[in-house]
Amino acid sequence: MDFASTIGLGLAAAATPENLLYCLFGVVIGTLIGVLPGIGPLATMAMLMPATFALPPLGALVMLAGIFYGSQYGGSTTAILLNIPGEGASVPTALDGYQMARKGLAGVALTTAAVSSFVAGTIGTLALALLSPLFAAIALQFGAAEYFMLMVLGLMAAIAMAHGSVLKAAAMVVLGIALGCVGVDVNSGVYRFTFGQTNLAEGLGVVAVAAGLFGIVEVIRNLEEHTRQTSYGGSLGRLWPNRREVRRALPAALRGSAIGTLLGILPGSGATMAAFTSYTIEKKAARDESEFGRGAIEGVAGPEAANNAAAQTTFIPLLTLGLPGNAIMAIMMGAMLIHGVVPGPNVLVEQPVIFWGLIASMWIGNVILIFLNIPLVRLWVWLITLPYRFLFPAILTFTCIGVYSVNNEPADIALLAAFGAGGWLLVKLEFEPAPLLLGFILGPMMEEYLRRALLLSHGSPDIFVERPISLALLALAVLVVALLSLPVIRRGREQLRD
Amino acid sequence: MVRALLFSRDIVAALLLLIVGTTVVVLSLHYQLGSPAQMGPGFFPLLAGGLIVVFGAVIAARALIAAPTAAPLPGFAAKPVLGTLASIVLFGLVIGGGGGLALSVFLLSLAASASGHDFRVLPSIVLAAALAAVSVLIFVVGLRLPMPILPAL
Repeated sequence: MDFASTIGLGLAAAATPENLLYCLFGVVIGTLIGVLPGIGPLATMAMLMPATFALPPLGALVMLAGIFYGSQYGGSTTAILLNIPGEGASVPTALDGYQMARKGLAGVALTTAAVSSFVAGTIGTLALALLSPLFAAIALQFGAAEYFMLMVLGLMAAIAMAHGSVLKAAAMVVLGIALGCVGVDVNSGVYRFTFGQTNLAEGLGVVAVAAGLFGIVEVIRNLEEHTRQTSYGGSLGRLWPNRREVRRALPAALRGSAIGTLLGILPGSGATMAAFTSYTIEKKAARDESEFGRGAIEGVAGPEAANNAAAQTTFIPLLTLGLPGNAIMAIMMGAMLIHGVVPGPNVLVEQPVIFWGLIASMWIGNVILIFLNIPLVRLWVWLITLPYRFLFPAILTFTCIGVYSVNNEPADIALLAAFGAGGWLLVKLEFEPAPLLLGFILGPMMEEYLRRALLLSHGSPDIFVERPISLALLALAVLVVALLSLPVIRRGREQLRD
Repeated sequence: MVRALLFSRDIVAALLLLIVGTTVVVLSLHYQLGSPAQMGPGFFPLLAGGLIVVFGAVIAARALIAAPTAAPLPGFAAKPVLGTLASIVLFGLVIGGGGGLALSVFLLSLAASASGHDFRVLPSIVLAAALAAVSVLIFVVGLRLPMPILPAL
């Protein structure tokens, strides 16, 4: 099939009334949680995943994806108006966006962020559509050894990009892999780590694990820290940038889109790193560097474009290689598996409607977002003032019902509480739950690929170095580890953390 | 000194990993290990458990070296932590015991509100009732989840 007809296929699948509705629903919820401080896309996707089980596979994925990139839009609103970045990826936006707001240019900053995101979303989606077939073609050559090494590389990258201690992130990955072993072993039929509980036969439920680790932990942490309520008192000013501002913002948005598109593809990197990189580059490229930090419009346009482009292209490794680059993609992967769609090169070949439909829906979602955001800015501003004491009982309610509804099983609620408690303890000890979730999702697949690879080689580990693609992936993984131990990189990571 | 070391954050973190890792290793040994070419069910978990122990040991070693400057164990606020978890467990017990969705949500929301800050009785009851009504509308009426609304008598 040629490019035009595949895009046509995708648009036709995504533009059905139901799928448009799921897309609208996803991006509105995404924007909402991006705006609301104290609840992120991870927790929301975990919370709403069960609600998508009843939907057809494409509708479910369209909605979950919408929540994710919608939250990138919403996160910039609080960053600009209140200097509170709703998501990590909006941190650079806050630097200059908030200063613009203080100068009375809040409306211009918000519009710049929305339009830059739209431009980037379009470019990112286009890149996704063009590059995916290439990636999938490579992945079709993969055997068990290559897939195993690919997952090792993905987990290494996740460790490299985690905040804080590398050792602790690595420990979380392995702990996740161990938790992924719970349940019936598919090869021998042996019940592993189930302690006689028959409802653990199919393993720990991904919904309960993710909702506990992210949703519940987030609520507890917010209550513990007792964050002060803030509200925006200033006016928005004019909404549309003038010609001079456009001339400065547009090139920045285009550069940001390119950076985001590239960095989004790399596993472990994603939207946050893209936004930071774009900010640094804009600052270096600027004629007058001193304007940055005092309301430079490039500092809003670049990072906003970068994080949104990256949000689109992080789907490339997941959809074409079956490799989730971060915890959000791991949740997407969990949802795909539950709907019987195994992420990997075969999606493109065997389920083209789902593949192209999802991609087309992301572009449609970006169109919806821009029409939604500029007129609704005043509504979002009002929502920020919603007190957390009304918000968190609602979050807990929807999380509990969501987890319970998967199997109508009270034991799942116990599991939710256990992962909430365990996750909280881990966070207190400065372990990050995101690498744990990645290990948990990838673990069962890694075991299967390791088994198959070693079965083929009669137990010899040489298979991983004898096959060229596997060797290349192994070399990359070793390179990541080597880079991690370089003092320069370590200092860079520390700085990024602060 | 010994006390400060024992209660440093990284020592506790390492101990946690060592305990969990050892448990995984011991349990894995109960399953057949097999050979690399014909892996048994215990092989892969044994690898994972072994690695957890290794990471735990390295973190412990580094924490011991850095002992004088070690970060102390962080404190925690008991009410929100235990209250939130208890309200979730309460939801599970009520809905599992046939209490119906409306009552389960009402109690969950009320218990959660009580474990947060600025707890005020009347607004919390109103919120709990509203959430119960909204949940029934969305999940039972809208999404048609097979859940009883009211307690079985």
